Amino acid sequence: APLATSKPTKIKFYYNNDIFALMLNNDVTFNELRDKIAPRVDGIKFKLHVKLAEGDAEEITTDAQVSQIIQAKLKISVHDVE
Amino acid sequence: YKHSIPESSIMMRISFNQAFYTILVELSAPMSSVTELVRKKLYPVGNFTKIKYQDEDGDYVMLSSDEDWLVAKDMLKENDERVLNILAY
Repeated sequence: APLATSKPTKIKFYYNNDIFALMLNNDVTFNELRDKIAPRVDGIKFKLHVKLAEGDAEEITTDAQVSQIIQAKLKISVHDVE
Repeated sequence: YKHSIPESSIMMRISFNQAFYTILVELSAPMSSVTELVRKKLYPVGNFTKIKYQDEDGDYVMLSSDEDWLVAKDMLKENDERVLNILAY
C-alpha cells in the first residue's frame, strides 16, 4: 500500500519536562508506538493523550487514533500511571 | 563557516551554563561517542545530565539514544543544515 511505504513522519511526545521526537511509519500500531515510547519514560505503566495547545485531549488507545495523529501530525503527551 | 565543515561531519553548538562551545561530530558516530565528545569538551567547566537539540519548531528535544540522533541528523539533512544547536545541563 502506498501509505505504508511512504516516508516516516516525525511525531513529538511530551513527558514531564522533556520533549522527544520519533520517526513513525504511517502504518505503526498503537502497541508499536508504546514500544517506542517505553524506553524513554521512567515507569512501566503510562498512558498517552493527544496534546493540544490548550492542554490534553482524548486518551489514545487504538491503532486508528495513532494513524490519525500521524496524518494530522499531532503531538502526544505521556503520563505515568501511579 | 558552513563550508569549512567536512562533508562527513556536523558542527554542534553547545550551550552550557550560559556559555557556548563548539565541536565537530562525525555523522557516522554512534550516540555513545557523541555524548563522550560533549562530556570531554565540557569536562573543564562542569558536568551535565541531559543533552537536547533544537528542532525546526524551536523546541529542545531529547538527544540520548541512537534513534534520537538519527532523527536529529534527518532534520539537518532535510533542511540542508550543518550546525546543530545543543543544550546541555
